Amino acid sequence: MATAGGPSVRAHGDATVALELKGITKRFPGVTANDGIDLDVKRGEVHALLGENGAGKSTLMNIVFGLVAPDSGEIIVGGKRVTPHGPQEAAALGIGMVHQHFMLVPDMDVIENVALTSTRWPRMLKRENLRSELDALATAFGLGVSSKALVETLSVGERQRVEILKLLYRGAQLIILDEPSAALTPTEWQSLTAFLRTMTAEGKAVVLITHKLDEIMDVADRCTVLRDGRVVTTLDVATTDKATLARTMVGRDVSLRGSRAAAQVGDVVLEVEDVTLDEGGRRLLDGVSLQVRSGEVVGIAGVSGNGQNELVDVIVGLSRAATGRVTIDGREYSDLLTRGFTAAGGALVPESRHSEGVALDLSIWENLVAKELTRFTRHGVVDMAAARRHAVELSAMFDIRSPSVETGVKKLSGGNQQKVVLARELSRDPRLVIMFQPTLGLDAGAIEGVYRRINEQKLKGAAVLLISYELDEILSLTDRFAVMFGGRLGPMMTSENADVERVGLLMGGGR
Amino acid sequence: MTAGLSLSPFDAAWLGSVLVLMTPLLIAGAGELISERAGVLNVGLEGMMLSGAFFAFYVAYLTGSPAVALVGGVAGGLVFGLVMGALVILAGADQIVAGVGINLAAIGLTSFLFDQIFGGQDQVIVATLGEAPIPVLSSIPYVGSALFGQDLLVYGAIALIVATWFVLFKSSWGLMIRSVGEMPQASRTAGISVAGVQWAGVLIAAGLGGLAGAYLSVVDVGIFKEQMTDGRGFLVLVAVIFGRWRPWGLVCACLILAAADGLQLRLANVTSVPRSVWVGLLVAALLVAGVRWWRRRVGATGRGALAVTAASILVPGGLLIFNPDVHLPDQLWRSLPYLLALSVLAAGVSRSRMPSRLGLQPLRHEG
Repeated sequence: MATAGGPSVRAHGDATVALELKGITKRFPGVTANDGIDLDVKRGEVHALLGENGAGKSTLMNIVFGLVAPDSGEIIVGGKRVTPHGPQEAAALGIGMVHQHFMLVPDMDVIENVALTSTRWPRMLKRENLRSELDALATAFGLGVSSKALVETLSVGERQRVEILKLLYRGAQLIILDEPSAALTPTEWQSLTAFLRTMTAEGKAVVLITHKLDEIMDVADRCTVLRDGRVVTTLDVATTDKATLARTMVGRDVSLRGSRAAAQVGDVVLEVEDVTLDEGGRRLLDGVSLQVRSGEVVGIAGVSGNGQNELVDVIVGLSRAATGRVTIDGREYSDLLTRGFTAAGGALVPESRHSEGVALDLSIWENLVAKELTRFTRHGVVDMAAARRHAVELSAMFDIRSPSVETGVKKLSGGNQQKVVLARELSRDPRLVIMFQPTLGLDAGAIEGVYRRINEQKLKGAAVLLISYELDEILSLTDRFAVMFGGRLGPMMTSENADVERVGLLMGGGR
Repeated sequence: MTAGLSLSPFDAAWLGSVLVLMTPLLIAGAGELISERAGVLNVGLEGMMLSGAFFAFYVAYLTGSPAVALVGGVAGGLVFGLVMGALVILAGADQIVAGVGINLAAIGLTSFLFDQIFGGQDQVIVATLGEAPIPVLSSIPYVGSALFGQDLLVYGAIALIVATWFVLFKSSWGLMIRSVGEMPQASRTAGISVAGVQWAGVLIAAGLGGLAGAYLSVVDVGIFKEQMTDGRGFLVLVAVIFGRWRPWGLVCACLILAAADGLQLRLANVTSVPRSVWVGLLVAALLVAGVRWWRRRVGATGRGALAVTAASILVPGGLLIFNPDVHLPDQLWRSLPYLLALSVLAAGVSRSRMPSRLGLQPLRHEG
């Protein structure tokens, strides 16, 4: 079924292939995101792209969608070699992408969102024509949304379908869905799968970026597994099972990065008991229980967006759990703006260094004393000299490389910024240290430094909770760990000689 | 009480003056509405109007043609529109800071040039754009000449609002503009140049602001004086908010502000005021603010501000009703439109209608 505006199929092209990628390579400073990737997506199939965080899924699809230019390789659409520059050109080639954050204007209705496009001269909106066309499409694909509804009144699932409808209306033949189930309830996922099947029956192709094994088994025809920027294999979903998928996704020799220090394990410091958190009808945390004892490092593995942020927010006191309780050394602490957490001896190395870790516009010394201002304040006046002396000491101790402690944190490298965070948090001799993606965006030397600090804290008798999306990091540094998926924490496992296949299965939502 | 003052102030002449006073507000408001819908809060509007007023006056002085002078006014506004766009869209400066800077710069520039060119002369009066009465309609008794005997721009302003409404809500350009003010990422994936749309918004606001200024100098009075816009640019900003970023709301807001302004002009030299004025004012103020208060949409601080403004209208009003001979300073009259504007703001316009990216710096996001 060829729609006007779709790609023309040349005689020499394979008419059944909607998209073909040959040897796509993309390097970013310090990392090869895509390394010689070959992929073909057929018309009428749902093709899943499976991989851990950082496996190169998103980069690859951004290349196809024209948001990122590849260093080398070919993109072939409908038998023709193309180089899309930007979303507009990709759309003209019949490629549409549904982002995790919807590109819909909340203040407009469905018709207006669909009609939104760049025009050189003003054109009158023919609402009635648009409406009948949309209703026809909606009926054909089973959309179930009134075209006159304001987008802000629609549920997440409905918005997602509006997004797809918008792409179909603009003549998309290939639709890329980036983690489409991330914000959906199970029922909404069911109606999305029905919707995807109708689309493929019409000869459209769907690329599904996901890390959830159930979804792949549920809706995909084929599955290409990416790992470290390379294609591991492409499997027929009908003849494979979840265990195989999981093994191919993570199953490799674990590259140990950093070593685990042996320390005396003491009393329980952090205790999380049956914590539940809901938001807008979705369960973000579901009965999470966890203990971290003095002198041990406990890890939380899993793909991002499975409740890790919410768990950290509850522990440090930024959000209040619906049920359950959190204690440090057996005491509950007030959840007022993390002050209770800090007073109870908690330290946090947050995930987003720039927005939560440091104040970029302030100097090193200001950042270093920020959490201990009372210590450097006399009668409401900051004792600058004492604060600076303290900062100079910490800079030496934590090897913060800068011209002086007056230097703005903005001017430091990522590694040195992280050292500022570590110095501030760890110099207070915390009882509990929460490290959330502590090596994100750091180079090898800086990563090694962070690992040394983790072990140092452990030897000092602190309890360390390491939350990371990098399985290698978890396996090499922690004593015990559990996998988080869909707001639930899986069974605790010993990190040494862990069954990697089982971990992969848990990360994909299997059991 | 003298016989002349027993005449009601709400007469046909007042109606005509309201239309004339409303026109610059509508012209500038239409541009500001488009700019704000595209996410740019054009605080520099006052300065653009002032610049328009001066350059229109200067061009009229040079050419003697009010029509050409209007073009000069538009150009005078556009100069500062280019500055605003360069600062805000190209350099990513804060919109409010840039706007305040433009207002100060425009006051300085126009005062300096006026002094350099016309200083030491007697007040120069230029020819104004004449009235263009609509045949038949303008001869309707009583209201005919007030409503239909005005200059062309009065009708033009109404047409401009209709056009603004049409473009914003019935055309593809309107979708582009509104999407940029609400969700620039969505605009970008639809292939729309966010910066391009914002440039268009700023320049339209600046050009129309200049035209509104020109109306003040070369259509209304034929003279220029320093800071002659007298805060009207800020009134327009209030009118856009009060109108909830919709063209018809803007018309209502401008009408109320112009009605109050017309009233203060007519009553400024009167020492004792007819009760009908205060009754009318009180009704207007209570309608504007009271409805919202009653609906409990106002926060605690809003209520405080509302109470202060209500009191500042009620107290002199009550005084006059019970003791008509009391003498009130004319400054009180001049403050009327601003008191109304305050009570409108204090009543707390719900933020839900506000373009969500209004006043924010452009997103610097690469995929």
